[in-house]
Amino acid sequence: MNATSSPVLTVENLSLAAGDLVLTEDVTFSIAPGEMLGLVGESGCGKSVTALSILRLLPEPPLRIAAGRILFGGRDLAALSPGAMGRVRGGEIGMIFQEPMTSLNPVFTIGDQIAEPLIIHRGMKRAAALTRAAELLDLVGIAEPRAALARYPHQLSGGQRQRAMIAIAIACTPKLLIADEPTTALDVTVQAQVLGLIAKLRRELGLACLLITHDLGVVSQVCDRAMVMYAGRIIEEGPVKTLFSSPRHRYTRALVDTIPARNLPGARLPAIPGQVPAPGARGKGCAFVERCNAPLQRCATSMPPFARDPIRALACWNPVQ
Amino acid sequence: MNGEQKAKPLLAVAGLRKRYTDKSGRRVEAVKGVDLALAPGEVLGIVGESGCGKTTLGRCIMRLMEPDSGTILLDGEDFTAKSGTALKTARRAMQMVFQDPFGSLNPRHKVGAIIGEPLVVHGIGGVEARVAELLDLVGLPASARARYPHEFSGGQRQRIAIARALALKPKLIIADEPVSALDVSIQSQIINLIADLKATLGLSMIFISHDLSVIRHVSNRVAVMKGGEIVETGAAEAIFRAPAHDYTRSLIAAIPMLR
Ligand SMILES: Nc1ncnc2c1ncn2[C@@H]1O[C@H](COP(=O)(O)OP(=O)(O)O)[C@@H](O)[C@H]1O
Ligand SMILES: Nc1ncnc2c1ncn2[C@@H]1O[C@H](COP(=O)(O)OP(=O)(O)O)[C@@H](O)[C@H]1O
Ligand SMILES: [Mg+2]
Ligand SMILES: [Mg+2]
Repeated sequence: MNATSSPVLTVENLSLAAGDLVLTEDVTFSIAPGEMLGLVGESGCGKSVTALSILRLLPEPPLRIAAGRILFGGRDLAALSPGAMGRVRGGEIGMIFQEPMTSLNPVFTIGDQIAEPLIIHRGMKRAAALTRAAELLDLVGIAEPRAALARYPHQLSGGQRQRAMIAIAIACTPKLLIADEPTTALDVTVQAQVLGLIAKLRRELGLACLLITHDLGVVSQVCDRAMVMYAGRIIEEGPVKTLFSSPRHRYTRALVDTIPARNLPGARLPAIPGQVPAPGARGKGCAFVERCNAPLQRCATSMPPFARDPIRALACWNPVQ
Repeated sequence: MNGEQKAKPLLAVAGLRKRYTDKSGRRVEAVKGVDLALAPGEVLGIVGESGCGKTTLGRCIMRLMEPDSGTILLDGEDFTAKSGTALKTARRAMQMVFQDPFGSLNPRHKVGAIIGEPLVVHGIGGVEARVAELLDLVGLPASARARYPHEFSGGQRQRIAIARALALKPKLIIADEPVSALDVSIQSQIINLIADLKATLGLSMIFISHDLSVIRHVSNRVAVMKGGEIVETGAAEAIFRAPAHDYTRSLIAAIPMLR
């Protein structure tokens, strides 16, 4: 990707909270046009709340944006009114979630659900919107798209539902797609097809994508760049080629090492002791300190800065050399 | 494989079938005539995509649901023919661990009672001491017995479920997606625990998972299931190095690997 073109999305020092409880802190990143950026991390690290905040879909209250900016198309989404945000969401930014069954409306046909954003955001007439919906179903690889328009979500398989979700998400040719665990509920062979589809749309439509997953393999396969989140903070970021082959943060290193496929069959896995600390149970220093295999004294008492060089960024006092 | 075939199997399943009738009255052939054998001390991995019949197969072997036909020999004895007290006694040799340890642990009972329950049901004494031993075995603190399941993380809950499954000193554990709901860092802790238990207790195991990398890591032998049938079976390394069946090849090709 062209590093000089201005980013589609820039998130600056974003902190999210639930009441007084800090969920994520100081999250900063940007996505270039047409770039596929991965966000990985174990459950509870704050990936989904980050995605939801960009879409302004956080359940506010109790959740809220406590600090930071979300710059998109010359606006700060963090400061946008609900009405103005409604025009961005589903229009300029598309979204797909893990469970298409809960995001698709069971009482409307697939055709009507794809046509809806075209009618709302593009002012299309219903007939024209349905014609476009059939084209979109064809684009996402659903056979006999005209017939599929009349189906209800429960009449589709899991993979087909996720394809339909993608069709809705890209209906208004957004510049940015936010995909939160889009293939986690799918079988591996279907996952491979859906990831292939996202890659194709990105090539053909120049779509930028924030791909959230807990699966490093998925990110490594389809993303240009990735960020690793731990206990509410981005702790490392870099091109996937080097991030996972030469991780510098001790957590990234440990995550990569613990994957069964990176070990000899039957060998003892280099397990990471303990578990991710919950919000509110994190100390003053690095949240990984208690599980780290090479902590320094200051790791527990002071937060390592997220230091950036032209290629990678890292928050660690004692990185892997 | 060097004499493996000759060793008397701990478990031998032949011609197992199970059919459901779904809500609309349609017949679903979930398991269509499965044969498998498990040697003592062996881990057999069963892998396949969702809906291929893995859970149904595991539950039928345990007789948590009745198979329509087929035989199950456990330690040479016909497990399918048993009923009443004979079934209850035979069942002690086989225990199950599930994917969702929360759903399978009674939320209103303390962990000590949950782990000790199988002992109570079978009228076995010394529950207190055995529970303490089991907690230690699965790497939980002794204080865990006085707490409730919801106070524990997913990985710890899976340890509780494993401790409970071990209470009656079974020879065979059937684990249905035991690490699928866990994060990688916790998953590796549980995989290591299972390997330790297998080594120290000489357990045999049927390990069911949709995750090929996990199956490859934990299994001695692997059976690949598709549409209710086992389409390929063999030594784990042979299957992954040189899959014979197209379906196995397509599954392996679809695993997203770290570059
Ligand atoms: N509605 C909510 N109220 C309070 N806390 C929440 C809410 N939603 C999420 N959280 C907390 O925010 C943290 C991050 O959650 P989430 O973004 O879902 O993690 P991830 O997607 O990385 O698994 C978790 O500790 C979670 O418990
Ligand atoms: N209680 C049930 N009633 C009807 N069909 C069922 C029932 N349980 C499972 N099935 C069907 O049986 C097949 C096998 O299911 P299952 O054994 O759960 O597969 P797996 O564990 O491999 O995902 C699937 O087609 C599933 O929809
Ligand atoms: Mg999430
Ligand atoms: Mg199952």
